Amino acid sequence: MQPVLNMKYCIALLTVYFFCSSVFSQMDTVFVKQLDAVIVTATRSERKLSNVAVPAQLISDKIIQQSGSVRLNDILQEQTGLFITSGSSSNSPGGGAFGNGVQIQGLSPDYTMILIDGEPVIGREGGVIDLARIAVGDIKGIEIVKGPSSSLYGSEAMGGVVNIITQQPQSDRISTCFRYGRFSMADANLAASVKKKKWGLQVFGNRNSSNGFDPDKSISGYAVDPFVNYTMQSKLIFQPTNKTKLIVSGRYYGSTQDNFYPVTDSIASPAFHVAGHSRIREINLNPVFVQQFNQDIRSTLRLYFSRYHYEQGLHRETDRSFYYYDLFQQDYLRAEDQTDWKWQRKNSLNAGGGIAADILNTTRYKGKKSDVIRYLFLQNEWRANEQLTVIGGARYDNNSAYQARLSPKIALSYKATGKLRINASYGSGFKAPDFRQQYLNFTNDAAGGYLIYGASEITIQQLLQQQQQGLITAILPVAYHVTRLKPEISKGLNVEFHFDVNKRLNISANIFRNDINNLIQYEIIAYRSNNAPVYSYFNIDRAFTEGIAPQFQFLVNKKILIQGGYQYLITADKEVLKEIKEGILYARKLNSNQVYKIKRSDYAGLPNRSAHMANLKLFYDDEPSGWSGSFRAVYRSRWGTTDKDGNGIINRSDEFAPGYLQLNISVIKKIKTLRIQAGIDNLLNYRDTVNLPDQPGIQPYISISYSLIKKHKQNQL
Amino acid sequence: MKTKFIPLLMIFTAASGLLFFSSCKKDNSSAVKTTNVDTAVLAVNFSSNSPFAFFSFKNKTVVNNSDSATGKWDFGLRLTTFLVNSNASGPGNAGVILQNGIFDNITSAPASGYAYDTAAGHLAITDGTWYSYNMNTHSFLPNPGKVFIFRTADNHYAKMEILEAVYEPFTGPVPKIINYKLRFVYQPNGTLNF
Repeated sequence: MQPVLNMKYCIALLTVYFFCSSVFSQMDTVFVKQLDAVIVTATRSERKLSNVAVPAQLISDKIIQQSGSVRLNDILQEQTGLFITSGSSSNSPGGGAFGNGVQIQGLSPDYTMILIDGEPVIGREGGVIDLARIAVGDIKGIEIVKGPSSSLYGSEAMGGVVNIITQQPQSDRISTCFRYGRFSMADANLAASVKKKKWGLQVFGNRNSSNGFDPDKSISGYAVDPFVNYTMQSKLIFQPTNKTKLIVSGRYYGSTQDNFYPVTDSIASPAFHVAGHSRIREINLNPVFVQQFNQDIRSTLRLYFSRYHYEQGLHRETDRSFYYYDLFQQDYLRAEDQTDWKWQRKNSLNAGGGIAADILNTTRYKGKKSDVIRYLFLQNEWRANEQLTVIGGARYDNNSAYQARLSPKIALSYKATGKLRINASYGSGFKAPDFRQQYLNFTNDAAGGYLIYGASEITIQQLLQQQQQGLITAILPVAYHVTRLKPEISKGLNVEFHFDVNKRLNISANIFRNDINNLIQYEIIAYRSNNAPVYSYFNIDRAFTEGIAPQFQFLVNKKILIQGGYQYLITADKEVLKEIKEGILYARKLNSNQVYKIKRSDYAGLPNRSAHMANLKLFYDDEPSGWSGSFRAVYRSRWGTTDKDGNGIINRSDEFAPGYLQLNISVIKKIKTLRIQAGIDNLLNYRDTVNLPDQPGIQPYISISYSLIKKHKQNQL
Repeated sequence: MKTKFIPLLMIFTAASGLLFFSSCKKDNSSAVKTTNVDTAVLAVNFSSNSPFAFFSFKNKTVVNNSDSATGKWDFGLRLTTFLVNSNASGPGNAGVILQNGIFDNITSAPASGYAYDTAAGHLAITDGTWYSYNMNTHSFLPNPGKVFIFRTADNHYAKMEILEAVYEPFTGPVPKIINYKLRFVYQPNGTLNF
């Protein structure tokens, strides 16, 4: 009962504060600090947010805490223009790990890079890095850069970059947090840090578990199976002199999920149950050595090793006979050096290069697959005068498996007046064809027996041979065009207006356009003797995404911060637009035989995109009384799911998932070093078992944390 | 006042003119109309090893498989493979044009340009060109706006549209029958008009 009472009390309190905003003397609260924090992701060097020329955003630890977020997807779904794609959950073998990915500026999760302290998170399943793999309990902040960033980060940074900045050791401290919520969702954190003159150590441990949930009882098995996962993170900083610094970070993530669900061997055969486990083990090790040669030159050597290991074993429930085994193990090794040079007072240069090896061992492909990438990058920032800053840069990626890529970028920032700042950037991004698209050799016996070949795994000669052997009954003309894949490329333009109305209110709007070429899609190339189709991948499609994303931030008084944002998005497959223009694309009316010609306005663009997304967030923090909290509303308009009238595009009303509004609330009371938080996610209990199988509905939770801090004089490491 | 009145008058005249022409056209077409729109359900084997299902536009029925070597059928279907009764597939003179368009708006068949089954591996209709297959639901969705214009085995003309492809309820791992729901117009008088 207690948390509910607290909440009501707090809402009343918030309302009072909101309407009679008191006179404020100083504005040095945590909120103010976050308005112009330092961000590293945008330029690969520390810059104030107000000096960054590309659309960038920082989510502080304070905001994460007040939002009651546990995993990365929790907090990203509340950010302007970020669309969290729904995981395919555990309804098919190998599908359990797809999880939630993030779409930036309408580009799929495949084109978004997730970094931890600047190093890429690996282990894409179906192109998606599951955001739920990343705990946000003890991080300093999340930096988001929208638009093509391949000039700095290479492949995959086509739509944008999300960089998790882990906590630095800042004091001698130990803290623990325990959270419990509906569906036995339990989350426990333990963090400790030691800070000495020359060294510091930060350790963090997290255990996260749930009994799973099952909104649709008519279907046996769970929508989300029970799971438990552990995260361990540590960071050791050693600074023998004030010119030399060594940072060694380590991370471990392990998760186990119990699987139990009905499957069918083919299209509508009777279901039987399979049971088993899926496991993920992930290790990252990242030593970084920083040497400040003199006032103007600094060099950073980064080494990185990461392993992602996914394994799933399933057996038939009735006789415990073998049903399915899947292994996916990726190793990533990288050495990189970056040198930052400040020259002639007005210039900052970042130059670097590296070598990376990507090795994959999986049951899905024939043999081990590997790729070696060598790259160089160069970027110069020129502060022409007080008003104008110009940044130019490029990155060259050479590798063993596909075409080399040069990714240039130019950005400028112009301070028109003291209040108005205009940023513009144009750059190119790319995504290498992934291992799946190149090497997949996968027969899905669990779903009709279809077969998918990576483009490097099949040739027309092999197909013809299979036809002679009677394995293939029909070869489609497109099969003659199977060839080595090229990287998918994009060109992105961002124009951003920042207007500081006054010290407390700022508004901005970003207009963006991304043109994507060589999009890789699968197509049927042949039919097997069991009639199941054979697929392969092709560079066929061209698409674009464009839109506008206005945002505002309003510091009502030193206790209340309001943030809001909206994104209007238009996307389209250019081939479809061409077909519409030629008048050769038709649609069938719902529940009727009537066919009509598709108009541009009938076409809803790429699937899985909402045209309208909006958020409004209110954060409250009253340090003297110890009360704080937040109220967040997130809206997403309908998005296309699957074609149902046979034209391959999203155009009919039954081809959409309905839009929805999600309200989240959280209240915190601090008593000295004890912190009690109660919150409700999805207050309106919105559910959609078909399109959002992993959305369990209303989720109340309560958390208690306690910390012991030995205060130090602030001496920054 | 005058300037406002003239456009209104023009619109009225144009509208009434349109009404007049369209009503005339309607009268004309119904006067000469000798065809009807028919529907049929063709039960097709869901296997590329079992026999084809044959169809005759003239009789508006399925033709027995034992008549496969005759000119009694116009087209055959097995899974998603089309045959037309000509050359490599049969003794008839059938051909087909797969045309983009709206079924009701196609009022006449082209005089030439029909494709034939020139060889067993080179059929008039390429598989995969008239439907989408959904990997997740395993359903075949006929593409809207694809109209099959046939010259029948005995040199008449017909137009056809596939409305649905639905699996017949089944037990076992693989469906046995896929039911194609067809809509067609057959012109019995031998002209190209529908």
